[in-house]
Amino acid sequence: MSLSEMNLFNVAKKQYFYKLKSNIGIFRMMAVLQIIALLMSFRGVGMSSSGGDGMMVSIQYISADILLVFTFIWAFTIALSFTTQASKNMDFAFVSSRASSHLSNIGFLLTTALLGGITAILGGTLLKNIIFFTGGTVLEQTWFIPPGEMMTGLIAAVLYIILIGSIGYFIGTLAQLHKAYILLLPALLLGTLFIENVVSHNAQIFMKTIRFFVEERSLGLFFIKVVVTGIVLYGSAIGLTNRMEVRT
Amino acid sequence: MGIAMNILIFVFLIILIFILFFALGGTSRSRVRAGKWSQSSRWVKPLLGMYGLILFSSLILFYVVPSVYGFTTDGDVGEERENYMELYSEFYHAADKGRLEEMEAVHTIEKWEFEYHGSDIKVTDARGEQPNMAVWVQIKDHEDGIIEAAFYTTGNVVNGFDFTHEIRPPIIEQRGDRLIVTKPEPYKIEYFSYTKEFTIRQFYGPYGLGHSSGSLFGPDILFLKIPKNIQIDSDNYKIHVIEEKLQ
Repeated sequence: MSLSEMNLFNVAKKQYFYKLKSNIGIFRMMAVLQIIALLMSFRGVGMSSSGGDGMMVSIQYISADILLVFTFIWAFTIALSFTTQASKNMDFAFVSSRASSHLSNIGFLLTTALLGGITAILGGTLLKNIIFFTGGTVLEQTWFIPPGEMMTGLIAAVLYIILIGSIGYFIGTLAQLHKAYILLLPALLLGTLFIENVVSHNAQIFMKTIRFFVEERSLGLFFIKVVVTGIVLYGSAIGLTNRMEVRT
Repeated sequence: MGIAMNILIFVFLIILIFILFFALGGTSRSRVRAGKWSQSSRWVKPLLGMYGLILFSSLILFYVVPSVYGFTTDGDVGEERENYMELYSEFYHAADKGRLEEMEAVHTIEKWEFEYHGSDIKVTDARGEQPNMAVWVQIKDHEDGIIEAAFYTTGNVVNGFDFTHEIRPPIIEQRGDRLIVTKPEPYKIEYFSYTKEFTIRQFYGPYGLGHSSGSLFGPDILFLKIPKNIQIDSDNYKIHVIEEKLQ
């Protein structure tokens, strides 16, 4: 059956499920990383200590922030790995096009974002329950998170992973275009960070880019920013590989 | 954060990404056999399912615990007591008038009563130190043979949370013509504060990565009410005898 006989989305869908089945180990790695992050979070993401008149109060701050960061790193590396030759070779098990390959990859990365975001936020509740039931004295008034806020945090976590995934995919695609990018891109980032710190004691470009997302106070606008950035980065990755030779 | 720290974090992240990347490379070789669930996925799926089940159960438990254990959401006193200096001034003013118990913001931590029929009593620190705790004395207008003692404070607030209930009062004992005060040994209390994840804080606050800080350890007073026939003094404590007579 030729590709022209098949709908692009049908092919992409088949490839997507194929990738989902064959990459199940990726989610095992996610669970392992999240458990490591969970263990690291028991000492808290911050601590404050103050005292007076014989009394010393020590407060440890507990949240899923480390879990989220580890999940972000996991998502970034998955996106990178999906642009490697080994990953591309998988696509030749099918009658496929580069477009269907990209679509199935994006679909897979969106799935990882969904699962990664949900599990990271729920991992926070697991962490808090474990601390409480193992005898930790918790400031009870800090316990409650309104469900609406929890849901917002979950959606934002998914969006962050989508964003990070699209960045990873774009960087990975660049690296596939020319191996020099593998060294050039980290060097460029490190160099910018270093030079800006030396010149202005503040990494402005780096920080402004991060602030563009992390200082957005409206979930709707944050959603738009992430989706537009994702479309641009995934679109660029597709555009960049369009002229690459096709394996037959 | 210094430049060295920025670079260190960056390098750490790069190393972590490389490790993960090569670990994923290892799994990609097994993808060639894929297309159907591989041998290893047979136990991966139930494990992931169990992980998901644990996480989902945690979410339910997280919302059930506060009602089961009767948690309250109030207790943040940061806004209620903005003007602490004024409160402390009122505290000492009320002590001078013998009206500490009339003040809402004052906490009575402990009370004692001693039967005493002597004519002199000396307030002594058990360790012979010069404590910074103040002793206020109010003279009763009668001779009932009872020395009443009470330990008052305005409370301790750390990062907006009230820790007054954790204050340990001194031990007061009457031995002969001495009222011996033993302040508790320095002690440490440890709490966990559950903070919202940064993906929640970004939209609902508090903004930024830091945690609110600021602590106020309020003044405390040992307040004594003594019969009018008893003379009181101390080697260690500064005694404030108030003019207002107790009716």
